[in-house]
Amino acid sequence: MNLPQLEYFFSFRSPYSYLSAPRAFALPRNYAVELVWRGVRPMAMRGQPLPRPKQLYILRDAAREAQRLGLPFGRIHDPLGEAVWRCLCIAEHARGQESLPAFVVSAAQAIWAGAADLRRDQALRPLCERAGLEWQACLDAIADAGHRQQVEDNTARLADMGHWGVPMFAFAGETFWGQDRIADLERALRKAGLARPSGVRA
Amino acid sequence: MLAALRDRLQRSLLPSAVVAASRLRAPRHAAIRLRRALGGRIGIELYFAFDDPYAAIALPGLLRLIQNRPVQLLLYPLLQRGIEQDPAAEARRRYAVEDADRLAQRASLHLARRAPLAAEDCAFLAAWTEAARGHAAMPAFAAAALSALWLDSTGPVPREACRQLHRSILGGEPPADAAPWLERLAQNTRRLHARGHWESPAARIAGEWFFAHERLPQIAALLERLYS
Repeated sequence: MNLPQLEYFFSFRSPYSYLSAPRAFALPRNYAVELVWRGVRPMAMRGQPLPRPKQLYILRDAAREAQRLGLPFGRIHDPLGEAVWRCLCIAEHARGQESLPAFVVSAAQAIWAGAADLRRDQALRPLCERAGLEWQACLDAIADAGHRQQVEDNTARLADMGHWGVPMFAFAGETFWGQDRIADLERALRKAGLARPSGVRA
Repeated sequence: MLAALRDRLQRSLLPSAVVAASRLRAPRHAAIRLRRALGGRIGIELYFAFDDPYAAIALPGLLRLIQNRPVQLLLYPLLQRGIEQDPAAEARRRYAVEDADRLAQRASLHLARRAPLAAEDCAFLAAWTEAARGHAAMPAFAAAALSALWLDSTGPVPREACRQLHRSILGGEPPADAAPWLERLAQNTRRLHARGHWESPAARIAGEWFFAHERLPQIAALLERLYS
């Protein structure tokens, strides 16, 4: 049976994307939807200005939100550049596999709570292997121009939808921007009759 | 070697230090509690724009939170806000209407207006509010005007309805001309920037910034802690 699609736009450089990930990947368990992964380039790698006051606000607010959500946060290593590309390509490789949520959540956590420099193989490899991904296949994925093109397509799709930030969810023509809008998205999913009966989980 | 150190500083040490420093709230909160014990009030600054639909969620929400609490709410209406030369500015303005309506629904409210407003069309309201600085009912007027703009009207800005609100809440005629207040409104924007923020609706409480439309529960929790 084809399930309605719920698109999930994500950036590894966005702390709010990190905070959204566990709840985003849990959505198909609670609602009859197909979660479609859309990894995108960070704002700073697509010409969006990010002035210092905004950078500071995001870090401080994300710290408060992480505490509220019970997620670790604060030992940071900014992945801007090559680490972003490595994570995005591996996520494309893991797309459609059970290992995608495990990889995305653990890589994002390593960036935002573990100060891991994911440009380095010795930091990235254990995350991949713990997620069930074979390291050589991940190295091949990093070098795969097709994966980079898919990320470009995802990024273009975000812009085509009139959006600029992540995490962003798109469902049935509506868009929901922000980790703190998942409650509104869930209201829309319930309204669409997609809530799975309690006790019945995909 | 130097490049590696700079890289580590920029990517890891500085952002991690920003987060660590933001968690050092105890001294600030202790000072605020002491001031309160000596009869002082907690101050909240809210910077907001009438053309921002999120302000129609933030200000009434803040007023509900501080009801019956000795809080000094200082309002700073803005005409200029946001990031200069932001290529996403128009998309943000369109999305804000849709998103603010969803936030309103959380409180069983609904935004009647479905399209963005231009800042210049709302400039008279910012001027009227700025002119009422020092009046005890200034926040009530601003909240009522925001509701009139976003929750209760569509089409052109309801200037006459806002004039009626001015009469009934502030007890008098509003200024006939916005021009004398424009410099004060520009000062509000400069004050917002100087204090480290850029956008509406920004609330500063106990040294922390909150986007007030989406952080009302967090603000409530902070006030709870400060009053405990």
